[in-house]
Amino acid sequence: MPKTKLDETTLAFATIAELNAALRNREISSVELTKILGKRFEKLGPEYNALAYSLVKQGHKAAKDADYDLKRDRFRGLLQGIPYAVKDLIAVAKFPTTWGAKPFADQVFDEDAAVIRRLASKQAILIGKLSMVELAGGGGYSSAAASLQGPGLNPWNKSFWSGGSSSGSAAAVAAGLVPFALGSETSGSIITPACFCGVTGLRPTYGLVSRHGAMALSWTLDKIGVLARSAEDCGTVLAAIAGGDDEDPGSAGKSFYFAPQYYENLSELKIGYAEIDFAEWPDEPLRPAFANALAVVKSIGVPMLEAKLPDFPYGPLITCIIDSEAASIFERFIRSGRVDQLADSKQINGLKAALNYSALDYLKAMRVRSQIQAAFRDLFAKVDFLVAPARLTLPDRADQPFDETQPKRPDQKGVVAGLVQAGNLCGLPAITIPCGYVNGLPVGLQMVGRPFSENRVIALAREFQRRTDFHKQHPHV
Amino acid sequence: MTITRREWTALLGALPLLSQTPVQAPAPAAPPEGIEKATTDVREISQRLAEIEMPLNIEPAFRFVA
Repeated sequence: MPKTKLDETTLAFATIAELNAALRNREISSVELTKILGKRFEKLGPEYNALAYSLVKQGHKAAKDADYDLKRDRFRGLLQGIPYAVKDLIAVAKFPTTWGAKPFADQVFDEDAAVIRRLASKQAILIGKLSMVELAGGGGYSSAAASLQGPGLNPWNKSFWSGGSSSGSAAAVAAGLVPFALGSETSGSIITPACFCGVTGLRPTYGLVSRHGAMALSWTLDKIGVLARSAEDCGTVLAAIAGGDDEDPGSAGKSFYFAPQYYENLSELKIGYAEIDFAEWPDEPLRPAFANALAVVKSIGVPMLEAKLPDFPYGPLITCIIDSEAASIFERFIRSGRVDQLADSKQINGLKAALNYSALDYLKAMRVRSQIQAAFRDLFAKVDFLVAPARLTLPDRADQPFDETQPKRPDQKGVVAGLVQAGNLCGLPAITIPCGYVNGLPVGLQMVGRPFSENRVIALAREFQRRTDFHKQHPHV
Repeated sequence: MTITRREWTALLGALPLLSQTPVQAPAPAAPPEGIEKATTDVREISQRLAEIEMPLNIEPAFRFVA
């Protein structure tokens, strides 16, 4: 039995820095920590349909190795000896990697994904794979049930969805099963679940983190990112997983050194935002929380300018690009009829119909994407960040089809409408942080920056988190 | 319950085969109206893209960061 005096709840909701301090001060060993969190992972993970595959047993061996080095003061950074888990589209050699989909339930790869190798080199302890929306939601889907493990349940209230497609990654961090998890985003798959589950989610710049060994949904849009308890923790993990990789054709060949201290003087930067995004675009019950969040952002003292997103049809464009690339990637799977084994009929139909996009459609979308990128370069010549609500609604119910009725929104547009799609089309880094609670469910703020400005984005989010305690709250699980 | 002409056609076309077909578990394939809706969505997006006026010199995005 574990001998540590630290209680389970303290350990379950501790940050990476706090756990690292406990390990280095010998208040707990990595083996003890892995036992405690591993037990929670295996017991509570299935309660939220978050657990895809347990690797706790394998984690114990890695934890022993980490303890061996820690005892000899061989430090390998803040992640040494710390348990984590990954979305089940990231390959772990010799174990199932299901991509969240029944037709791939028996799939096993021979090689670890690049991010797994990088985290292993820091002696982080992998304890499992996490559930996800099948095939990361390619083709669209109609309900939370579009997953091999069943609907992702929100640790704040299991009647609600945990968000997708990185459903298990967000739920596992929120429920205190792991201090951090890896997820992926093609268009909203980190931002949405992180927001719904009240954790901090970092979507890095396209090309900063290698996707080698991860499922491809859209070559030109896929990114691997981090879900954790704070902006600071996201920076720590990003520093471990970022870096050039010849095995990923999309790799930017850049490294990332986490140094937000260089951006302490945020008053020299500028935030673009729109009052209407906070006052009128969100569903009415969420507006007081967003008004409060905006007041906190203003109190930081960064000059704030009214901004407006360039006017483009972001939704149809990104749908065409994702679905065209997904149709090519999964062409044999779709044409063979295996696609019919997916759980969600809308997704089955969406993938089949995606075969109808023409080369002209795709190239037109990619040409408009060039124009969007140019427009964003102009926009980011005037501001350093864009800040807006992460989501305008509370999560959908987990047991019902998504409500697809379009709610009444203002005619006037600010920044929020289309920001997730535009940010992904432009490969921009973004962070979402919890900024309030409505009916016991979290709401979040998103902060978007220029390409490769992760340190700045993290610095702004960290400043918000210094002034609030939303990120320290956790559900009673 | 209403049955569309398309469903009638499919049903009538399948009738002579019914007696020869061994009993199988129902296929989980999506209902036909679902694929029609998804195909219509694709067509609408294609049309929307076609309507966007584009200067001749704009090349597709070959880099995926702004």
